[in-house]
Amino acid sequence: GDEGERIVLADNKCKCVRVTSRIIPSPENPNEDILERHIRIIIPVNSRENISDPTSPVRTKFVYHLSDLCKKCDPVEVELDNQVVTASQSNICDEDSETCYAYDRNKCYTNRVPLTYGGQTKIVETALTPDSCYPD
Amino acid sequence: KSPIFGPPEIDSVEGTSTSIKCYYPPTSVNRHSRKYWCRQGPKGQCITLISSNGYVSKDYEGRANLTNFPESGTFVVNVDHLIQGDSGSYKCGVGINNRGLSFDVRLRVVPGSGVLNGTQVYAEDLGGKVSISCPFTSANLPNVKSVCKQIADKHCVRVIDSAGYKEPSYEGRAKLIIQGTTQTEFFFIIDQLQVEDDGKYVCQAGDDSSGDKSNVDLHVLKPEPELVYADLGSSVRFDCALGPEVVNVAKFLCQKNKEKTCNLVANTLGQRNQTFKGRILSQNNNGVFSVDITNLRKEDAGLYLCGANSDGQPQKSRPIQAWQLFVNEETTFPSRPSVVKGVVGGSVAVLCPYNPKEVNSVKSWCRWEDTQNGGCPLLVQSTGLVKNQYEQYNGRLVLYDEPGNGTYTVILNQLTAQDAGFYWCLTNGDIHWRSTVELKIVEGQPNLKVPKTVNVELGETVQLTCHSPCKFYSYKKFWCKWTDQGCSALPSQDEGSGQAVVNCDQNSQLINLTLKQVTKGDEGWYWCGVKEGLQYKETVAVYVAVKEKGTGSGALSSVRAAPAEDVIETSVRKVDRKVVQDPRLFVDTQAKDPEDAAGGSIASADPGSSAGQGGSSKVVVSTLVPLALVLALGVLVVGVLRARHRKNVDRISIRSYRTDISMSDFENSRDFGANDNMGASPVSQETTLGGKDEFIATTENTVETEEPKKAKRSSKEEADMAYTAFLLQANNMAANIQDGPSKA
Repeated sequence: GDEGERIVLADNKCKCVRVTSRIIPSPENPNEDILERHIRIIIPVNSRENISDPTSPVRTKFVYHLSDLCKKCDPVEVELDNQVVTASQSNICDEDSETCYAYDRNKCYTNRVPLTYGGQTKIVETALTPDSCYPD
Repeated sequence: KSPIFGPPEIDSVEGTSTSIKCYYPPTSVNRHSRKYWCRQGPKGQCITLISSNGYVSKDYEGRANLTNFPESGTFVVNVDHLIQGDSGSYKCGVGINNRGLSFDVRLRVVPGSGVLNGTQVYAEDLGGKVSISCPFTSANLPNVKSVCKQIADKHCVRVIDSAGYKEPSYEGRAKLIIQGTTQTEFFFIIDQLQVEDDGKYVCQAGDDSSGDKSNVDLHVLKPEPELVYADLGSSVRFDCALGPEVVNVAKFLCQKNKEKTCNLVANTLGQRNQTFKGRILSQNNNGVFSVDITNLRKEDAGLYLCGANSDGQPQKSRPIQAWQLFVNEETTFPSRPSVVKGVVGGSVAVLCPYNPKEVNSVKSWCRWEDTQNGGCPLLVQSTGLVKNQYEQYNGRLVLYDEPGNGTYTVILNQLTAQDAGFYWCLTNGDIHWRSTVELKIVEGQPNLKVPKTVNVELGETVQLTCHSPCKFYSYKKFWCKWTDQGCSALPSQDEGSGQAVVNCDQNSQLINLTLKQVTKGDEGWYWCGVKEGLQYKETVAVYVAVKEKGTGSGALSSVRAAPAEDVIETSVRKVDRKVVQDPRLFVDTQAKDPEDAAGGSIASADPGSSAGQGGSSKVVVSTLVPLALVLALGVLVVGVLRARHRKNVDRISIRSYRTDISMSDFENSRDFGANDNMGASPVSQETTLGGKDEFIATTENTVETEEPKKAKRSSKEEADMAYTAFLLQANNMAANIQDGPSKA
């Protein structure tokens, strides 16, 4: 396809879904343009129920709600009566604890595991995503 | 769109080396993540050639290296001893697999000048000159010499001949040199080489049947534009230095558009493109033409060219300088409103960004001029008001280093219609943090009210009263005395025994400043303002004039009268308009009134005061009632929308969309996360989700498995990585165990 003309509607990294759209001539009526929506879903089939816990069972059920994917929760500044206020662009943003199927690259995920070495066992904290865990 | 950027096209000559610089957003994870350079295979997979983990493919052994520069957010791949077989498509990228975070690079390696399989090869730079030698036998000495360019396989279009013909696109820059009558060689010379000149040529002496022919391959090497990586909303500078030959020639900067022509951005003759209005500044110093562009937008990305031409218009000329600008949309660069609005007589507080690493830089604010020469005269700096701006900005302009941490504040009050325009925030440090803000003057009344000027006699006591509306209830109020160094806050009542005292009556929203035993030094501008946390909001200025002792009544009452009257007027108007009011609220405010009148220390001194307080309470009512209505409505809307959302979720049918579902077996879903929907377009083509399914008929239901099955990394490298990871882990474990007992 013509990547250049596509408009990205949603690029949800948490669920690995990208929704784009573009306007193409209708296959049925060449005089008409239609809007084509393109949804790409990458399913991480080996990821765990809880991505922060590698001992949790492998996820077998992946649920995608289009309206959740397309929500924009980053606060944006809007102007009301000559005053700039920040507001969320969606009304379903307060429902937190969203289940992600993929890691957030900018977040450090750790897990505690028992380690036996030289006859001693202790609990150590390990990084699941080492690249994201540097303190800088 | 990937936030990685590098050279889109590289031209190199065989045997030489090349250096590919790729940019990434310098986030912590990107700086530490694996960097790679891979070659696109025929089936769409990208085979790693070299990576920052230390992996080098067999093909690159001994002739390539990859260096990461985390402080600048770049990495560089150097490849030596290029061969023609290296021509192809590559990617440079960040991450453990090569999906997403990468940039496509096309590498072309052309043979060096010389003879190759009976064909004379020339490799010359774009804009340069080539002299092609065409040998022939003495039999063709007297015959016509010509050169043609091969278009298709067999077809050869004549470019030039010794009979005087010249193809129009070569007019003025190509010639044939035939030396004497004995030389068995003529020369075909092309000056100012263009991209279109690239190709195969045939020299010919004599006619087709008995003529001498020789084949020529001309490669025009495109210079690499300088790469400029900038964040959305930040600013860039193009420094155009074309050399001493064109010091006195007018220079232009233009942006290449889709139609391959170049739109003028700015030139040294003072012309500027209107799409850059307010956010472009240029200067021409000693032949160096520098152009600053602020508040970068998506559409600013592209190829920029700078050249010299007497009329300042874009033209294909030499010398030329080129930049490829990339605008990174996945940025953490602070976004600020690019427009602020103020009312006549009111104020604005502009938040300016600066590089948080440069806390001690000198911050400034200047006014952008839309004149021939352009420019931006400084108005105020961290060090104070700029000297020659006293006349215009005395008493009404201040720059605060607050709230700090990457932001400073500029406050301008007593606004007039002439203040509308563009202003720049800048520091003497990092130029990428410059920004433009447009000030618009709109209809309205200032919220804070003070008398304009106050006359007071030496030794008297004066009370300055500032009225703030109820919507500023939660804000911190302050009084400060303006000087050209800033506006230093005056102490509030509980802070003590100072000469000036601030107190705020919460019920009436009056902020009073009392100046006792006024001296000549107390004369000047005083500001009353409100702050929310560390952020300045509105301010208003009053001038206190100190007179020698003379006749006349106390200044106190005259000061008080002005704002009080004003308030009553406005509140009455508001009450008239509101028909539905909660009677209980009325009772409440009325009950308070006598208490106020009795308790207010200033009430006895000023009969207008209690009325003023009552009035402001009515303002509370008239604001609260519509507010409550709006809130109730808001709750209802949210409820309805949420209910609709829940319904819609179930109703969406995947059949109506084209859907790619790929099952990939990468271990875990690393390398995809980031902020959600950052690159998503603000302009949505979409209609609302759900509801009636408008899209049902539009696309067929196809399931494509676009993504390849394997995470693509050569197994050799995989093994390397696994081993390194194991070593690291083992090290850590050992270290932890050793630490353990000693800690205990």
